[in-house]
Amino acid sequence: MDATLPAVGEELLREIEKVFQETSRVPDDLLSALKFIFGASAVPALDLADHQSVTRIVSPSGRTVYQVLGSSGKLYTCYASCHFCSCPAFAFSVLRKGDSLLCKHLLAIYLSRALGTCHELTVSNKQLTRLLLMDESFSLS
Amino acid sequence: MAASAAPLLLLGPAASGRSALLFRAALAAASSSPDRVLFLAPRPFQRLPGGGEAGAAPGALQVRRGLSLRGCHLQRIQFLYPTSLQELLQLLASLHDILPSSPSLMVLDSLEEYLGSCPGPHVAAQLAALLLDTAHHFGQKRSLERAGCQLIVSMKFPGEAGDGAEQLSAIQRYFQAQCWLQLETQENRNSDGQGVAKLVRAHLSQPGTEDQEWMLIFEPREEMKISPVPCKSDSGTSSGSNKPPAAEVHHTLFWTSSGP
Repeated sequence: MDATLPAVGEELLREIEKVFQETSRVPDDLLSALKFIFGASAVPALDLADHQSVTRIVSPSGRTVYQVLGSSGKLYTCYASCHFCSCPAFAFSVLRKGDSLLCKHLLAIYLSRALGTCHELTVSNKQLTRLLLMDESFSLS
Repeated sequence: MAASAAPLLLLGPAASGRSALLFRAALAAASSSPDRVLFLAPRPFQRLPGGGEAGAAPGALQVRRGLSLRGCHLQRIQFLYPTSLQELLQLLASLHDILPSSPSLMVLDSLEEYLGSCPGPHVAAQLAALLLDTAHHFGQKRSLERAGCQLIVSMKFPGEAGDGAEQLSAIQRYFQAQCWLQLETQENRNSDGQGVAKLVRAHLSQPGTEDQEWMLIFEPREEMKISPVPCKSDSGTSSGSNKPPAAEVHHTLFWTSSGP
């Protein structure tokens, strides 16, 4: 994810990555900071990252997109370079109400990269095009 | 990734020179790099935006002045005309697969025409995000060589309320750099007393840079001219003394023969 987060969020994710590499856990103080900055999305996002629900998908062209398997079993698509997720919470809480910085799926992408739990998958260019269009009738499986 | 100007949203009322500025930016980019420029619009121009003589489709553009130079640069501009929101989304999502090389600049004219059929702000945001993501993809590929891929999108400023305002808000969150065009109420007589010149004030703002203004001058039968407006003192803010001028960031848009 190459989008811009507030500096404090970037700093926190770097700290989580560093501590997790050393101890294989996220200590309570960093968890509290995560909740403080990202609100209600923090714990579910950490859960998604912990359950290896994030996949970074790349095609031969180099174009990249993320898919996150939500807690309900539904797959959500997130763009790689800016904050956009196909989930309803992003449409409502982030875009419409503006009371959240990220939905839990976007935050899960950041966390999965910090924790090293992000899957990698290569697909064809045409398959990646369909993912970018968030074609719900399209499945990689 | 390579240094590249931030994605820019160009906003203004009808007949404020949005297409002329975009076309000028495309020509400037095409003249400064051997790489292609991608120009997306709902339909071909009926005549050259920003002055000059009329032509038909861009491939058959005829201009009296600077024909050979412009023709050479025009060849580097690839015009594509998605006619609907769905076609535009499809095109953006497939450009990584169908373009043989990365463009130095992506331009989209008349975004509002695509948003007319947009079901809501969520899809407007998806379109903006897909534009950014596409430019970012090309920028990353070009960063291996020398530069990024700039993105400039123009949009007619919508009404004050209703879906238009929500859509604009959803789109603005993706564009840190925004340029507002404002028609000046005063119209000056041309120097020879024939026709009137239209004046448009362009105000460019971007976090981390000083705001900057230009005056666009459209005189009858003349090409658009651009002149910088001297910076106003920063009344009300103490910021700016250490900020680079926005012109350095978006010189492509306001390129003039005498420099930005």
